[in-house]
Amino acid sequence: VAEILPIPLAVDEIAIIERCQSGDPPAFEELFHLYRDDVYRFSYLVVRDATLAQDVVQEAFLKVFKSVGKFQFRSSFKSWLYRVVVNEAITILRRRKLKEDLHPTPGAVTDASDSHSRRWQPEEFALESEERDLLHWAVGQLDPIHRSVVVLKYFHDFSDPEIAAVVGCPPGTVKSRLHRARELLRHAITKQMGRPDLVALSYARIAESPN
Amino acid sequence: VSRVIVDERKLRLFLRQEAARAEVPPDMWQHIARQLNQNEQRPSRTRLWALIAPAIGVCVAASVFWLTVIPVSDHVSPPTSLTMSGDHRLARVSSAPDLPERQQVKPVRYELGPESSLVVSRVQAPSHSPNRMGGFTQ
Repeated sequence: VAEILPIPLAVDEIAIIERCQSGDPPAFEELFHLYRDDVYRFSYLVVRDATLAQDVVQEAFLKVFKSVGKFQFRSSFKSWLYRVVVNEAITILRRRKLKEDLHPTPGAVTDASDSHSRRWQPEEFALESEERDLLHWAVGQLDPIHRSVVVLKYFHDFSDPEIAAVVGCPPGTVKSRLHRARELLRHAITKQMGRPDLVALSYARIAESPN
Repeated sequence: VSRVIVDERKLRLFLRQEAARAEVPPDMWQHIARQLNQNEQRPSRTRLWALIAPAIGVCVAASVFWLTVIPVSDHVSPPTSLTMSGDHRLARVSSAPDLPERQQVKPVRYELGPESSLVVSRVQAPSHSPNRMGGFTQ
């Protein structure tokens, strides 16, 4: 069971949520604008597509507005909102994967197929853009759940209990998922470089970093 | 050969750079507001449909009953064959000559003009009446 977050809600936020619960339409817009940027960036980092990210945000906010009456202020509204967003992102990604499996688009280049056509050479890693490309590919290899955990941890700076509240699991599971995500990243980078000895040393910094 | 330094700092930096590329669409709230309005209107439409649907169902059932079960009188039995050929413009209509009543087939000839003909054959109704779908009630 996820821990109840110790994060207090801002007074303005409470007022806006209460107005939403009473069905005040302008309050919905205020709540949307309060979280719009963070939620959209999170969605974009998880689904890695601007159109899909927009779909995720829209569907998530519609669900939040529909069920905001059930929110009882026992946890952080932010965590509750992000939980809806994570679930929606996973649902949309699964739906898209199913659609692609049923109707593969000729010529569509995915991260996985891209990796076969582009092989990084060790010399190229001195370039910052190559590092960015490598990380882009490696993060793309993570499944949506692990990617969500990584984004919450390293982009939004959520603590482990906060992430636990979002993904609906104990904090210990969050630690193991983060560890697993780092291992998957290391494996992806190693696979891409073709030189495990070069990656294992450097990647140890991530693996040993405190949570 | 240079080593790849991929650490926590670079992962954070990468995620921030990626997020900076994501610009929130300016019309996103309009989409959501439109969807909210549609969701508000949907329950009223559902209620209206709930009222209309049983009435439509009753009408359909009554029509099916009327077509399949209730027998049709001999006077309105439809022609069983209809053939047309040539120019369809109707020029002159003449009724078929009177035939003995016991003869079952009563052809009626409609002349449509030169090289044209319209023949309607009527089959006399059997002893038990057909229904409107072509079957027979017992």
